[in-house]
Amino acid sequence: MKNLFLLLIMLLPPSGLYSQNVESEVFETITLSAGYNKNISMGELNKYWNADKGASLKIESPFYAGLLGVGVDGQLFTSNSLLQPDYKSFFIYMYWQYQLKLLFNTSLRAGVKFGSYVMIFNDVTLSEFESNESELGIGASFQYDIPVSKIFTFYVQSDFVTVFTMKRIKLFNAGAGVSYNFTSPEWIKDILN
Amino acid sequence: MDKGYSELKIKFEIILIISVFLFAEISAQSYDNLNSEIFTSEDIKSSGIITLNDIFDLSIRWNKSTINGYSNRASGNLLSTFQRQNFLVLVNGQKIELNFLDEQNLDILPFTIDQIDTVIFVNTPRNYKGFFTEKGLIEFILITPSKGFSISAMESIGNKVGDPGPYAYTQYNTPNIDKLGFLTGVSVKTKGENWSLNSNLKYFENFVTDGAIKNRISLLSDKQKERLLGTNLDLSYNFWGGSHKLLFAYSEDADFFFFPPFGNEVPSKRFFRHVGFSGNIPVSNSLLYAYSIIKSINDLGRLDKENVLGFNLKINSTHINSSLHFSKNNFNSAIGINFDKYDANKSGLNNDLLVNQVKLFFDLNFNFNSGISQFLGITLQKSGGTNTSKGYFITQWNFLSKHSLLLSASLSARDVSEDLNYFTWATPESPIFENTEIDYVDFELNKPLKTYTLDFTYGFQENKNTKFSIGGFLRNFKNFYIEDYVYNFYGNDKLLKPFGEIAHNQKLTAAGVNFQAYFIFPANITNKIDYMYQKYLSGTESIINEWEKFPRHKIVYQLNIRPAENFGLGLKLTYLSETFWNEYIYLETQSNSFYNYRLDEKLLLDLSIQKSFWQNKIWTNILFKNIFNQKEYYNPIGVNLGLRFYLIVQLKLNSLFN
Repeated sequence: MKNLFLLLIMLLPPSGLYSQNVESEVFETITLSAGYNKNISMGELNKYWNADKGASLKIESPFYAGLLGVGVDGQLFTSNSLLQPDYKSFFIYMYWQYQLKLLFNTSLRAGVKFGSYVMIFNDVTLSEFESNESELGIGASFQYDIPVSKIFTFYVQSDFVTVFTMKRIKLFNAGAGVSYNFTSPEWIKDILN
Repeated sequence: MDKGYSELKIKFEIILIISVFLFAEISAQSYDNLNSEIFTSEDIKSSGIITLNDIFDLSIRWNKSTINGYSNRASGNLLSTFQRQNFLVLVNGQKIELNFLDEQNLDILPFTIDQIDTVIFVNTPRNYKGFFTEKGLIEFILITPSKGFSISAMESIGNKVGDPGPYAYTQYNTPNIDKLGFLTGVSVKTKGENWSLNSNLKYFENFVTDGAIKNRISLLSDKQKERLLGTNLDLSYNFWGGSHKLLFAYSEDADFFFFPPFGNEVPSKRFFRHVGFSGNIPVSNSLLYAYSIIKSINDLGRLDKENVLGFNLKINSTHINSSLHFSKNNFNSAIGINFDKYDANKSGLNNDLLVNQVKLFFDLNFNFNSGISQFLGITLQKSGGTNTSKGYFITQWNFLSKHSLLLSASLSARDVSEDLNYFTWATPESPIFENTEIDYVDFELNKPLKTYTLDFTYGFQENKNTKFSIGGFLRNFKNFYIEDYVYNFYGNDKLLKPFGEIAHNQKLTAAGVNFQAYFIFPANITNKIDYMYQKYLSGTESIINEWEKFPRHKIVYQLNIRPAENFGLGLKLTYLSETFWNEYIYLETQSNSFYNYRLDEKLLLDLSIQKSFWQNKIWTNILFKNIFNQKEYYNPIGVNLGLRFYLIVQLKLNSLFN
């Protein structure tokens, strides 16, 4: 932990951390991201299900002291026994992250995300309406960005999410992906403002 | 007229005479905020209000109780218990006959909260637009259409936490909670040179999923969903120098109507219709004539024809109000007469039951040089063959430019026929609802119900962004009747059955204090703190039991942060002290504490994140209510609201094609 802290200090640019995304930069750019996502742990539920394939899509823009975005994380869960059905989850969320610029144009972000955690159970005994369930999800998210060109960025990310079912689901996810950044068209800025 | 009433009247007259002699200098000052609270559309947006029934949460002076989580019983500024729902509701000055068998479901009104320009709570008895606000009043002033053609819409979806999720397939399975509060509203408006037209459509669905009510309702109905549909058309026209308004409203509400004498929800379908024509005509520079003619139909029937249980009651009401308002220099006065006719039609009854009411009111207002304004009014009423009178007196004194004092006193006598509730319409020969063993009440010997109120407030206002007030109040009730029931499980340990009677000659004296502060600190952050304390001082047992349903302490702290014009954050922290519901005292043991007669104190934190888009044409609000996930009951046999979140989107496209 001590070494990780030292590494972060070394990566800080000489000017240190600074506030960014001032009012004039609000919604000036848009970033689209797509990546691979996988659940690492889901607490008690690990006894019954294994996390399979997962993917995430995000769209974000500078918003005052950070980045504001919306996204969706999809994940398949395969059952360990016949007693439990397989299910898909879609976490549709909004997030805000503070971005800390580091050396070599890299950056580290941390923030909060919240939204609706939708679960679709592959249970033939239930109607379509009954087999869908949604619940509040709130979590913390982290991301490390490594620019590979002016418009493309490679990133790794992780998040801890609590889903507010009666017995809480605690999720730890990790992933990596690519972002594409472009200047916001005027008509999009008009709508966002 | 009995001795006690005469004594109160003498006290009232003494206060009046002393005040007139004390403040005899005339000034030019007028007030429109006499113990009233006025909330704007911005206040509504920042307060986490979703439905019209949430409106009570705006004011700390109004208490609410709810069983199903959305329709409430309310008490305005402790002017009544939860049992009687006689507060008045106006929409753009027209009285709306919402009260039906002691329930006023505000969501029957066919518009959504985004259509409200202002809400006015009148918190003490006085004449307001020709109506005596004996039990308080709420007026909705709707948004005036912009020139041209405008469209607006609102959508709200919500979710309550606590679903089982994947745990449903494990040893940790729990019942499903499901979604709540699906609400849609659409409004179309247009405005010409001297006319405007406004129409609304509203649809609302709620799901019966909480075990506390599902246990009962699932035994009484196959349906598990509450559904409300409403629409209205509002035409305003200016002619003869005045403004005139024609309002049509229609709503149907498929609901589970909790009926206390039965002890359970009755699957019901309610139809509400309103046609009203109102307006004013200036007679001279100082004289104005105001009028309204209103026809309402309230119809409560069975949810389905197959349902064995159900109501069959239809009340047609006609209201004609006529008044003259004189205003010159520092003096205002009004005189008016109101006719109200209620015609109840029940199946199996050859002749309709009728209640006729005639009210004559008179109002005076003097504004004195010293910053003092005085208001005096009286309403003489004949209802159900009984004569009663109601009066009020208010003195407001603004001094040293920043300070104000307000003193308000009222005395009102009320005939039981004014309540227009179950006890007005039900008779052993022709009951409204047959499945109850509660005795029908013979009110022949009952004396008029009397209410005496005294309120005072000291206010300090440094500027419009820094103000505070402190006040106190006294309530005295005499000859009240109280439904004095005790509920027990009946048969299957799910349905409830009341045992008891109507307690007569109930009296109570209560007092309290309140405090409010509003300030901006630091910049862009508004802070509002409200506190209210109340306690009964003396009284009879049955009405005291009702009074114990009001929290003794209420504290609300609201903080709104607006870092940018189109982005805001709101925090609301509410503390409510414990309440006691003695009618459920035996149910606690019988249900192994599934139902508790004591509702614990609660600390509720709400967070809202608001963002406008497209130059304020779209407004979104992500709202988290009860973040601490405290047990949030407003009735021991009702739902636990708990942690829930909503997404609210409003769209406003004004002055299209202009």
